[in-house]
Amino acid sequence: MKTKMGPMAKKEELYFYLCISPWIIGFLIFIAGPIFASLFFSFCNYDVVTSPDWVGIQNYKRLFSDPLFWQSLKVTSYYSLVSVPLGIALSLIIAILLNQNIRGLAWFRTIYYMPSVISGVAVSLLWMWIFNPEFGILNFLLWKLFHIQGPAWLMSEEWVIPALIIMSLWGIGGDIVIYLAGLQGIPTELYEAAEIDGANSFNKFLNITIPMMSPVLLFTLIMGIINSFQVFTQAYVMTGGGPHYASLFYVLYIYQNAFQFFSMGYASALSWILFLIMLVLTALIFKSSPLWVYYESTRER
Amino acid sequence: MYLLRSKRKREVLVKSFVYVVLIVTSIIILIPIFWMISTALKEDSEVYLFPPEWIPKNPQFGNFKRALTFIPFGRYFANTSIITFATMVGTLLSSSIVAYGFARLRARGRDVLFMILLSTMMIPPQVTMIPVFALFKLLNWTDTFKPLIIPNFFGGAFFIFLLRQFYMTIPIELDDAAKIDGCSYLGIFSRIILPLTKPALATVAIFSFMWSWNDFMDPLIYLNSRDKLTLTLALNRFTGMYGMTAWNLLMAASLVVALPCFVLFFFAQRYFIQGIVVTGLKG
Amino acid sequence: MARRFQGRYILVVLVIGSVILSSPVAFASPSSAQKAKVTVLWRDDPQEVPVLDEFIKDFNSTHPNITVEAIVVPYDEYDPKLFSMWAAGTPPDIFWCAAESGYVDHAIRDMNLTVDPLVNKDKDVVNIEDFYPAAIEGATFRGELKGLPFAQAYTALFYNATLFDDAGIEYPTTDWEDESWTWDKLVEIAKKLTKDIDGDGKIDQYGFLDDRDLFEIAWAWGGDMFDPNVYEGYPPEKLALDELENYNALLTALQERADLVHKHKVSPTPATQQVIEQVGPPLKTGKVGMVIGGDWAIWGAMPKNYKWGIGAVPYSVPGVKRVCLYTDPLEIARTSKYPDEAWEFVKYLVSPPVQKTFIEETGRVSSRPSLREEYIEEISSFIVNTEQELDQVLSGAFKYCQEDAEHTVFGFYKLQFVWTSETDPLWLGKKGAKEVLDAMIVKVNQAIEENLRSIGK
Repeated sequence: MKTKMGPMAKKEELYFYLCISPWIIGFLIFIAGPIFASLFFSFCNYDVVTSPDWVGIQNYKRLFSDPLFWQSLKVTSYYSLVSVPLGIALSLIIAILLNQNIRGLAWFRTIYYMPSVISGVAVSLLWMWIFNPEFGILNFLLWKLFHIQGPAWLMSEEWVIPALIIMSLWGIGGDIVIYLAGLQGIPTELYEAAEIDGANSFNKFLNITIPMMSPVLLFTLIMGIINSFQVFTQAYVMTGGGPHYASLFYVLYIYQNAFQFFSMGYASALSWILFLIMLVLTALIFKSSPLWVYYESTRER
Repeated sequence: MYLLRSKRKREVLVKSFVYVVLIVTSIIILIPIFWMISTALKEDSEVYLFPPEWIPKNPQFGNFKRALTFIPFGRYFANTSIITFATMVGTLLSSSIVAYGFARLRARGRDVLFMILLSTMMIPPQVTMIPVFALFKLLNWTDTFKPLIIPNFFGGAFFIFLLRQFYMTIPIELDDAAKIDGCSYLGIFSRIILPLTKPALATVAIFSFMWSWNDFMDPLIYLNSRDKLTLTLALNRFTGMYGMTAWNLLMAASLVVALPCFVLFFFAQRYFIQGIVVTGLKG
Repeated sequence: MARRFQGRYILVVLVIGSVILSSPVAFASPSSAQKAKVTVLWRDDPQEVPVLDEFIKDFNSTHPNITVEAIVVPYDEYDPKLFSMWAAGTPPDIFWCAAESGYVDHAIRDMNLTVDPLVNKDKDVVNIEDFYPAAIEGATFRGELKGLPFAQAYTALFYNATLFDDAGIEYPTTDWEDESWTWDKLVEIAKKLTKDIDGDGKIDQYGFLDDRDLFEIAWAWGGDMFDPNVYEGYPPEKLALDELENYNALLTALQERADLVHKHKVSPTPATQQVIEQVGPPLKTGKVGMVIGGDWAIWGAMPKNYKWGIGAVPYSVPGVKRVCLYTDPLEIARTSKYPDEAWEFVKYLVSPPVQKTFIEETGRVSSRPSLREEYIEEISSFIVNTEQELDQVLSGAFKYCQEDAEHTVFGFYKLQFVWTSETDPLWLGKKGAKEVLDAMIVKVNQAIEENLRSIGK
């Protein structure tokens, strides 16, 4: 905006900075310092206990020839590419179903949200049991109901990621809640008007629900990507990155380097590469958003 | 007449299908939870039974009480409640207003700042953990609740992003109308935006409560004194290192720890029902 | 209108007020103490922590100008917590190799005090002769003593005596020098103990489970993964597997171990083992007849419907016996503000009376030979062996042992991660031993190089 700003625009700008001032202050105090520290570490040999030694871009050079770096990137991308779209689709469908006039609505919502609420080691250990190829209920049910011999799940290089994807679907309650909140904001008049015009359910879904939900969908898409790239606890507790590196998630590899291999510098370099990847992806999605995201508040931006 | 009947039949069919899907998926979701409850009720000797059984022979409801007395639960419950409640309030207050700035107010550098906001979520916390800890040590906040509570009064990126998206679904015409009536920016915020995004705000409250309640890593790093610890740290007492996990007590304790979140969520349901105003009743 | 604003302000005031009023303790910054304050970083173990609390209370009451405080963290988070505290300049005064990093890792980074001068000063109280030599070795770094052993574990063959009785088999010998007690004999017995009890085609009872790590089975078959000086605290430059003797030893060991699962079928598959271990220590579940590993197999409450026994580890190859010793030496932070007071507490914890209580409360052996009888007495209530037999088996365990490589090899944890990942396919039956070993050597050597680079070599 090269034009000179009038007094109204200046006032709006002032209020903008006023409103976001809590975040700016918090950022400067709590966030910026540590982030720049980690950038600094990425150029050092740092074992956490003794002070960092500057080594320039050695860590970054090492990264590109490290087979475990590529492996962890592959593992994480595979997981993300499948779990994010699947999770969004599933939670959206269920949210729409739940948004009907259904009896026991509050109960259903609570049931779906329950898995997200239970946290900690108990859940991971629970799922280890469920996925056990010889004694777990999943293979037991697969055999009893469908006569399928289930795979070795967490003990199989091919099936460990699908297993973790299935586990992630158990926790879609969070997204369901967000979509429900979004669906609340769609004015019923729109649906009524469409019905008068003869639209069926599918049309209504495509032309009203999706566009009106698109800002929220953008949110869950971006957060889905960011979160799926930072999966850590499941791998740490359930598989330790195995078998044979098949579940070596990127952040697990970072953690190992930071706290188990005394290589915080290398871990920091790994983190910054991850950051760059996610930044590029997010920027691309945002760039594309005018094509498919519809804001009620669109004005000249 | 004929048309009406077939339409209603179709409606009933659709409704039943919806119910079936919901019930089936609910059952699938509940199976692991049922397993947790079943384990929680097992006797100590049954825990070591192998292969494990579904229904305990002699349900020990006393396990819940045992789990609660194994460690100073009352103390940890109080600690966690204080931290979580304060966190929730701080997050709501700060994130709601910051999001408003990003959603509604135009300014130079706004989009850059927004990208920076998102970027802060892209650095894995594992590598900033040490500098953050050093920072809090510098402020002399270690072994207090301050590192767990105070940063939340400065907004949380996730929540700011979420609320911004929700605010942007509200028609700008409402803002314009209010401005014409002489409303200030903050007035628009409190009188138009906030009331219309109650479900989103309820979501923020629930999520921030739950995350803080279940937070493990931060209390672990910042707290030392044993009387300051939180519930999720306490759960670790049940997992012995050399394979001697008190499974039944662990599951019982985990369920008890999750209970306040269930209850909160169940009662927060009504905030998901939209106010009347412009957008009408829920679909 | 105005009401809503008011409501918000009141809420804010309420919140801030309640937060300030409710927990003055929680918000007070730690005040500077008049007394010397010694912090101990301890892992959250349901057996160890209650006993430790008792000891601390007792010590604090008898040492009025020292306050010992324990910081308790879950096992998995021990290292992150330890390193965070070091990075921020506030290390715990006392710590140990409670998790994955070993005392050598700590020593190379100059984290622990050399305690020789302190030991010499307090010769009579500490009585360094009343420690197993191997345990002292397991706390020595390049000739310097870096801590005193507090907790101790040894390796032996632990078995379910009841299952032996049911199968009519004689108990394994407690004589470590009995040459007729060989690996093949063990496998034979294991086969007799492996049963499908309910006839459903699935094995319900396994004869044997080998809980030893790779380096230990290399030792057992007469080889070594590392050069001898590595165990003294010098970082390895490469694996010692380019020497044919070592290579063949490990290759044979890997094959024998894989055969237990896939050929002789006396050991559970990784999947089954995982489920067994989730339930509890394999031996306790009654599903495994014999285990070779650390004595934590019999720590804690033992199910009452079985009897247990301890035997010698057999000869995998003639003339070679080398098992792990697990010593946990208490280390004092080099930058501790109260090293003398920390030393007082260390002395206290390793003193015979306190060690005696520790044995009684936890059923673990002590690093002090003089207390062996206490240990034997403690476990006889569920062990079928006679006192002489137990004495014999313990003598062997402390004679033919060497400290756990996890404690003595620099950067061990990273190497272990690599070789565990590389051998996964072998245990899962997907690849052969030679293929796996060759790949593993390459990868582990790379990891060793990275470790060296991290200390600037």
